[in-house]
Amino acid sequence: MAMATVTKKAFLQFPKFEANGPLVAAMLAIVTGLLVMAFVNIGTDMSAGFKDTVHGIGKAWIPNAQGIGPYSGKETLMLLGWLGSWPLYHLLLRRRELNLKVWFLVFVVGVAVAALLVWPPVTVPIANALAGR
Amino acid sequence: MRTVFGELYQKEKPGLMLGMATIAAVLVIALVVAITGPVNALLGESAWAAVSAIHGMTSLLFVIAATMALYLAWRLHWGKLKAFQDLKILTTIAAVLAAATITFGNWIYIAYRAPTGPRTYFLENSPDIHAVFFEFKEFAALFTLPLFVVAAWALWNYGPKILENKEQRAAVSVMIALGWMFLMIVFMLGAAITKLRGV
Repeated sequence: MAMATVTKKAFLQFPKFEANGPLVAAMLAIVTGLLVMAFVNIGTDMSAGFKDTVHGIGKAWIPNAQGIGPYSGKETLMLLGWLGSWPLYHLLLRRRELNLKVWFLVFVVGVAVAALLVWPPVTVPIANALAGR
Repeated sequence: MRTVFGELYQKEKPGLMLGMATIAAVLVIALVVAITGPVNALLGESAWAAVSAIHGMTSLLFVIAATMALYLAWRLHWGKLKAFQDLKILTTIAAVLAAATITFGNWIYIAYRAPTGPRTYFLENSPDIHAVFFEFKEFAALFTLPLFVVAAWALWNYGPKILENKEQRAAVSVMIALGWMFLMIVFMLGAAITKLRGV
């Protein structure tokens, strides 16, 4: 009886990770997703063809994405970048004990860079320069 | 050493029945008001009125949950947090509300981009409102989701042990603070844009 209780309890528990590697993995995944979105946004400003491709990605799964426009594809790619990279980083770092101060700095700088890259007064000149306009 | 009041407090737990009765009374009054009052007039005549109202409602609830979480995150940062469970639940609620607000934001974005929608109006009358502020708002909103989801995940994963780890406490509390900051930017821009030209 006691054994059954223990098994049931263990089954209901989420797997927990003691090392700080999984936290670093989760933070890097955020930065990856946000930077993917920022670069895709610059890309859509540079090329009409790329903008259509990104819109097509959104239309592949978001209802009424025709009305939402290319933004639907940008958020899709953000989700893919974030949720797709998280398991990969997690597999690599799940048992590692890392220098959290360094990786935390990488995380904060990464988020700040992503935020700057989606700020239109920064995005548009970069896109224009890269497109040679 | 426990005082007499301490003993009384331990024994006098809030009554479940009182809470249930209060919620039931509020729901009955809300139902009567909704049936008898001209609630539609408050929403406006737009076909998007309901979606817009839900988007606004979820974003307001998100602001409340995130702000409460921010205060507890501040306590966490300095190692003075006692209400760990509250922070865990509030951060999780904030993550769910981020997803809900973004989902309804997507929906209402269709009305914003429609040929007769606010985007057309802004491009004709004040292009910077769309080109700078709204463009930034739509992306900044997406920052809130991963920040709150990962903060909630970290609190569930590491549990109260995180209270003993200064660096992990800092990482999670700053994550919540960043999520709150992006939320406030988006919320204020959303309120301003709605005030200038609603859907």
